Amino acid sequence: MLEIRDLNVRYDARHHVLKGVSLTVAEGERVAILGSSGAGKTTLFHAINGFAKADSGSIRVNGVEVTRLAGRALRRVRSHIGVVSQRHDLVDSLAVYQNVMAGALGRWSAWRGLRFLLWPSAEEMEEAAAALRRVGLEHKLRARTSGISGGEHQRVAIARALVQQPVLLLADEPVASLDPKLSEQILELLCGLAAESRVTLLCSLHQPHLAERYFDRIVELQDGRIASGAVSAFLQQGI
Amino acid sequence: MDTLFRIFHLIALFFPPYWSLHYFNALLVPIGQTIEMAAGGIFFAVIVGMFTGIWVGSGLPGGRWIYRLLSAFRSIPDLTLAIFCVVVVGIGPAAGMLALAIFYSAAIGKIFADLFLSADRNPVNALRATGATRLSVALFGLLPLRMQDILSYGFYEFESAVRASVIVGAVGGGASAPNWSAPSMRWIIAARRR
Repeated sequence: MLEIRDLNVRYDARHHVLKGVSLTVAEGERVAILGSSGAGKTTLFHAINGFAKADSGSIRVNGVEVTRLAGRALRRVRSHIGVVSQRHDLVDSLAVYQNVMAGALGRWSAWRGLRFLLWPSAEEMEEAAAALRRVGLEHKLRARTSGISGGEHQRVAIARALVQQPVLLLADEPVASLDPKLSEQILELLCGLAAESRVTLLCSLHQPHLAERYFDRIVELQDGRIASGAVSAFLQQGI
Repeated sequence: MDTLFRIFHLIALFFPPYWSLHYFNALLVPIGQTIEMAAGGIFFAVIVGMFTGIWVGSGLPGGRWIYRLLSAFRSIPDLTLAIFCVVVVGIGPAAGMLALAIFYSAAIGKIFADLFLSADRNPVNALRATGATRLSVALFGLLPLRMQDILSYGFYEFESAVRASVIVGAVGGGASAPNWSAPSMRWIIAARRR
């Protein structure tokens, strides 16, 4: 499903972030990427959906080589990769249903998007409601996004990713800013939905105990390289 | 000293205010024309400004050059543009409206481009990550994120355009300035002498 071979990413001569990363993830597999800050987790995700350019190596998503894609072809690949991040990445001034349906923009024309913003159809509202129902937030359908809590924010971001009907879901530290209880709820939801829809899930985390509990496999990134062999001190400390 | 005297004399001419209904009626047409000119110029400018602002703010090809062009046009005073337009189009409201449209297209385009460029990148990148086109990202991200500022600056520029249309009128670009300046002053002075 996801095949990364000898991937190198540099931002400039001094910042060689990913150093020969190779990783294979099977369809429907849930993989946790652990690593300290600056290990290269976010850059790895950015490289997978084409935001960070690879210097060398290859990334294949569902058999499609993404490192050399641009324009429409890159947008097509992105439309099948859902992203949930730690950052505040919803548009606060839009309603919740509008943020959720932004997940459909990859398959909609700009005119369809404009029509949806002005006159959403009953089918589109039902699609947004269905996605929100899956994350337990159907009652927030018409709420203003600026008025929802941090945990609800992450759920809306997950609902937006679900509307994309992704084959691959990238969750970049989705629980970094949440309290322990809420973190477990969000991971449970994320992993449950991924299992239910047979979506491949790649999730970066800082908490080894959560990775152990919710994921099929743990991969550790250390200074831009996949750590090999025995469980590292970082993992031992957490587990 | 003579200049100072003339200034005070001019100020003194405003008092007591001249409340003739006939005079106010005569001013209604040019006032309407002033607002029409400003509204027409701003309407055109908002369309051009929005288009160029989104183009630059979305990082589309040639955006930097468009931004420089907007900055260059914005640096030309509206009065200079008005004189140029009067020479090209001829005396009348069309010249004034054209001058305002050019000046405010550049002003609004540059302001909107700056607003879009400084929008929070996280939601914008999240929308790009869904595979959305640049136009869709602008519709769902840039515009809603900056809507309050766009409306605020839009109205501010409209007010400025109404003010500017009076000045533009003074050089032959139509509207009410000629009526408010020389003829109206002459009218008031003549009325006082009667």
